[in-house]
Amino acid sequence: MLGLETSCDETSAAVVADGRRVYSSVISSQFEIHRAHGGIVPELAARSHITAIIPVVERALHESGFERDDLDAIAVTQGPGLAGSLVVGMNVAKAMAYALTRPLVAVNHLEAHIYANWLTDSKVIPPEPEFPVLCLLVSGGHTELILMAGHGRFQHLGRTLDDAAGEAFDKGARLLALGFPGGPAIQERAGAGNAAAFELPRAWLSGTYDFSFSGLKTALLRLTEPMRLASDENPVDVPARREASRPFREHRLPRFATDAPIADLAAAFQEAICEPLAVKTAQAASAFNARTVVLAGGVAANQNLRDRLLQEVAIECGPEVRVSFPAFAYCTDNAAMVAGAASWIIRRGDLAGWEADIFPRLPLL
Amino acid sequence: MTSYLDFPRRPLLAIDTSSAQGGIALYDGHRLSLRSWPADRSHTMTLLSEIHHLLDRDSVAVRELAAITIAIGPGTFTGLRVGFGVAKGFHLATGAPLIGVSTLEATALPFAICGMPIVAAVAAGRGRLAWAHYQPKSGRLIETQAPKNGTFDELVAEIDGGEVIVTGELDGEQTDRLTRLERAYVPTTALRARQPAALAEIGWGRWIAGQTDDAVTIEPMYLSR
Repeated sequence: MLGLETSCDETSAAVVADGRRVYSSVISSQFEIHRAHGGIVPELAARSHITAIIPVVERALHESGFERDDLDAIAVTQGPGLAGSLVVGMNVAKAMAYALTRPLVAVNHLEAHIYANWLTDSKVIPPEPEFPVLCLLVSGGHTELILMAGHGRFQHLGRTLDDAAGEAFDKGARLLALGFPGGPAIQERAGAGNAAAFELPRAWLSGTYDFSFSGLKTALLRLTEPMRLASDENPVDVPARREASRPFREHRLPRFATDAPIADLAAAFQEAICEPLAVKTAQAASAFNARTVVLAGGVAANQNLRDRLLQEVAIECGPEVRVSFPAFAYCTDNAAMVAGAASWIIRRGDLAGWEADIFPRLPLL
Repeated sequence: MTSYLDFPRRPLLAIDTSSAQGGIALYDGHRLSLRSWPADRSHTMTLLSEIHHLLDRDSVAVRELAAITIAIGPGTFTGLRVGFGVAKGFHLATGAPLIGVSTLEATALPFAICGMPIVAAVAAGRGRLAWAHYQPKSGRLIETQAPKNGTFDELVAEIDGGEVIVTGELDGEQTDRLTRLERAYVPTTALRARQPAALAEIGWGRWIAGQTDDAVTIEPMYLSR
């Protein structure tokens, strides 16, 4: 199975067998293109996919050791994601499938993130996660709690009511002048900080499995405003002047004194995101008798979240409930998870036709 | 069943998704098959099905194509990306070379025989246009002014006074104003519509001349305002 993933700012292709074994996974990151803008610029992302796609696919095939004619099917992300980016992968995949006379599989990006937990680089295939699986899906665009009774059987338990966890990390990193992407930047700085040094709010939304992070972001803004250098007038989210030669706005970060407690703030902010995620996931796992708890999405790479989830599940559910994380390489957007999910989708007999469209707001359910 | 493989020359596939009217053609220098349809914003849903109908009717497989010519714009960014996606996917599957052709050159080509300067325009959104100037020479077109993005008034200011054919995507009001200019000639709406045959013919000429593009780096033409 060849998978293509172009839903946001990574151009990726991978070859995966039977939904489990990854033979190759190639990702061309646009990180340097977007960093100056403090976030993803959709038009720049779409343009980059157009020129990155051929070398990425060719390298994925080469590294897998398979030829084009060895492929059984072509899989591609159908949504959710950026329209201009999704369009590139979808049409490349369709054309490849048509020309090679192979089936096309349209994959939901969120389902693909969950199936990243089934992937392995090893020749020895480990056992599958045991159902029911409770999944916390946390990325830049999504924060969702999903119960999976079996392959393709999803039940939505909760979601964020405002910002996604990854979005909160990005916004928090901007407020702390830590750059983009925010998750890794905050995690790195938080390593040297004391999370108890500052009190930041948690939205527990008791009685639900929903989350909320917008109040946390506002609290961080209020906390850091007095710490900014006085000469730095209203710098947050104010773009630099646009110039004809540089039509896409660049982002300016706030400035702090060198002794500002950025590490403590980063640690407190990270903990205020991770604690409700871990606690409510563990509570849901207990309430729905999950046998396995899995993390998925880019924020699944956060070590603090992994540690907190292990801790909370052990407390809430006991040692018999297994907690599983995708390999770091398959947490952020990648095509291996798309090719992996496609194998399970094909078994449901769900193939796409040549008229398949993209769906930028495609939900999981 | 007769196949293109029975002919000495393999056909080229031309793809135009620059604007709401999609167009495709198969052409081998002699034999021409066409499809043109109002795709509006549905190029992703319609293009491959249209290509399938065209290839199927002529019993051509993608791997039998000599090359793929793609209209590079200017045009709608999403539409162009659909065409580029399919062209690059075919290249990945079969190795078929890619040939990029300016959408404006394809728009101007049918009027090259008239022997006078041509301005070809496409809609560029929010009432703006993208256009370029061409001068016919021996049945071919020489680009005398590179594509630019501007307002209709800027276009009028550029052509006012000179003898010129203005063709392409113009609305009724723009057509009325242009026809009032003393030496500007504006063909009727149907004649101004871009023909996939023109794209195929330009592409075929480049293919015969060995002028293919780098399939990796070829991308749509992005005009800044």
